[in-house]
Amino acid sequence: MSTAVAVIISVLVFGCIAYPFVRRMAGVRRESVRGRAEYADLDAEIENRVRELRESGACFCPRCGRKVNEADRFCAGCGASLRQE
Amino acid sequence: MAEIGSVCLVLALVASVYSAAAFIASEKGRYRVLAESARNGLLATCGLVSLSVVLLVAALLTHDFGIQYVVSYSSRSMSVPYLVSALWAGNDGSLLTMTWLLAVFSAVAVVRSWRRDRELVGYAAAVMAVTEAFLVLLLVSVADPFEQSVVAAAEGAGLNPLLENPAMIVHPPLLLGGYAGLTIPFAFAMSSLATGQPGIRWLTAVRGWAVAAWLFLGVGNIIGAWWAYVELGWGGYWSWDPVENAGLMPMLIITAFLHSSVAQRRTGRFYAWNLALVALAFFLAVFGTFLTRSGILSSVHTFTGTGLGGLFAGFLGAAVIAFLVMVVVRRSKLRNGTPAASMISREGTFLLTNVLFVGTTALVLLGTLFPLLSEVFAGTRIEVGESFYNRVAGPLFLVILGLVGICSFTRWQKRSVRPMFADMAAPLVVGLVAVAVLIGVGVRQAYAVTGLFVCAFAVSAVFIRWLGELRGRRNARRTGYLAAGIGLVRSAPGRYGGYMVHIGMVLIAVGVIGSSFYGSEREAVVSPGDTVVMGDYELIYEGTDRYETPDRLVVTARVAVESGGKSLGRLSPERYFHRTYKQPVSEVAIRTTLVEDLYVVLLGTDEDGTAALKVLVNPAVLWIWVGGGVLLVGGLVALWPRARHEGDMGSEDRGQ
Repeated sequence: MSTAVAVIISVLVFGCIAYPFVRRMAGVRRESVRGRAEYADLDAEIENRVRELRESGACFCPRCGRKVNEADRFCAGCGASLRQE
Repeated sequence: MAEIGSVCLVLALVASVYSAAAFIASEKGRYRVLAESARNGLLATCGLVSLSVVLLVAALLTHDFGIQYVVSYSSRSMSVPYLVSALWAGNDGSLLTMTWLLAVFSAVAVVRSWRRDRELVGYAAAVMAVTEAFLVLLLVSVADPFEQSVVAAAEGAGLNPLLENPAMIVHPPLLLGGYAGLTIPFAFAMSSLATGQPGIRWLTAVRGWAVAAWLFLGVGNIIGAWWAYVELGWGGYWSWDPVENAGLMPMLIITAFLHSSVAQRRTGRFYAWNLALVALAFFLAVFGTFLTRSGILSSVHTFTGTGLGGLFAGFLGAAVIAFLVMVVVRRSKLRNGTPAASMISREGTFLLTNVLFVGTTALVLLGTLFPLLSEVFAGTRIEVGESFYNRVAGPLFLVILGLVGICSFTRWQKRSVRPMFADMAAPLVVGLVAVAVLIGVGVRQAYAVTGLFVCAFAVSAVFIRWLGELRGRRNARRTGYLAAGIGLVRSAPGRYGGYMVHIGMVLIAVGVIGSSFYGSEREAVVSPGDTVVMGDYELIYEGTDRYETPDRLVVTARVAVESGGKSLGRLSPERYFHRTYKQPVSEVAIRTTLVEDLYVVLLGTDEDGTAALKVLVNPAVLWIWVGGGVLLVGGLVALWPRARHEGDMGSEDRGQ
């Protein structure tokens, strides 16, 4: 009994580990599915880049230093005008 | 069942070692498929360790005395919650619990970051897998929880009666979870070094984990303190025991990190500092595990003679070397050219807070290791008493608390000093009023008065700032206070969770100051009808009752409590003798009010009805537990996801 359960668990574990390779091999025949997966990856990549940009190039109020949205005309914290030039 | 459990652990070892190797290989060659396979290996490890936990719990619940662990830590008379908690009552089981928590955290962290932080997740997962592999290796070799018992036992040894307290069900897994949780930030820090990506991406990935680990440690320590207070009967809650320190030190360091990570996000500086803090917190967590399992220092917590100490020391050494090598390799990325802002800015006060946290930790570490150091260098073992810690850490914590208040008035950019002091006037006045009131009611000790002044200043500063922001939002959105308050917290949960945690910390400080400076204690031998006078209380001893339960002989003292001729009810401290454990245990009776606790311990009784009572009055202790509750709520708020479409205003203050 125990032996059988142990064998089943082992098979499951090695199946998990081997699955990506099996899918890759099988995936050659299912080009479209893989294509979609790659697009999903691309989307994630774009999202990542966008977030990175947002995080690095965020706008701050020149007077009080509060974080503001790019489109804001006035700072919500101190009311300073954000459109000098 | 035992065989399957052992097989699961062996498979988990294989899977985690494979996962670690495959992650590193896939990062080197950018093999996506290999990385997916490695991820599945890590998830499989999680499944396997979870399965072995389920099997061990099932063995405990079904009293499977064929397993040595079940014999050693459970018995048929234990109720279900305590049977489950026996999972972490012993050395092997608690190691399994820690491994399991780490496996679950790693699985969640890797799945969450799989797409979001793809550049970082590979090496981070490799570090997690290596740590898991190390722990699982211990479980299959020297600390096997599924070891067969030599002789088939009909009954187990049961739980140590001192541990029969609801707090002991949650305290160990919380601390183990805190230790395990610190692995995740360390893994991402290593990954940030390995991939050469300084930035703040790794900070975003680890913030939630750092807060969670901090919360686990914080709440775990407070629950441990509460257990010591209500169960051990010495009237205190914290004794600077080496293992208590081991739980406190990583928490202090991760607190420092939570502050400096905000500073890095704001200013771009502090990268190297943050890496160092995260690594240090992880090292201290491993060191804590080493302390508990090596038995080199004496403590109520240790599992001595487990032979695990050397292995943990080796792992700690390897982790430190790996980190230092990475730092040396990437040293060019760690420099930053921009000069620091002035000290009178948020950045400056944060830096000071950080230095204080790290300094306090260093002193606590020194005190913890002093017996060892003195033995090595002076030849005699010198234990460091509580007074060392209280004298050293007390003032430092007070300064940190003061900075909580001062921080409310600094800004991220330069600010002239005058308006800052003008803003500070109100909380200073609150503090002075508090001092006047305290002196009025008879609190005269300089240290205590200073401490409570700082508490009043800090808490009012936090409230004033919060109120200001609340008004601002209410006016901007034209909503009521309640809607504005909820919206404010939802817009930046980290920041307002932080405010709540600060308030909780002040409450804890009030409790600690009150009970440390104004506690009083006396012991008395009384015959029935005798009265013990303790401050305003009169305790009338009426006699004892004796009764028996299946596993214990119990003696209860009946004590009527009066104050100024008015009855305040009855207390019944107990003392019982546990048959299996052959040791007498006191069950404390406590009368709690907002102002003070009346704490009565039955030290012993005689055949003729006389009893020895220990009576303590501990002021303000309730506020420690209330503060702990506030801290828990604040931590949970900080973990709450930020509302979407809220704009980005103030969001960078998360985790403050």
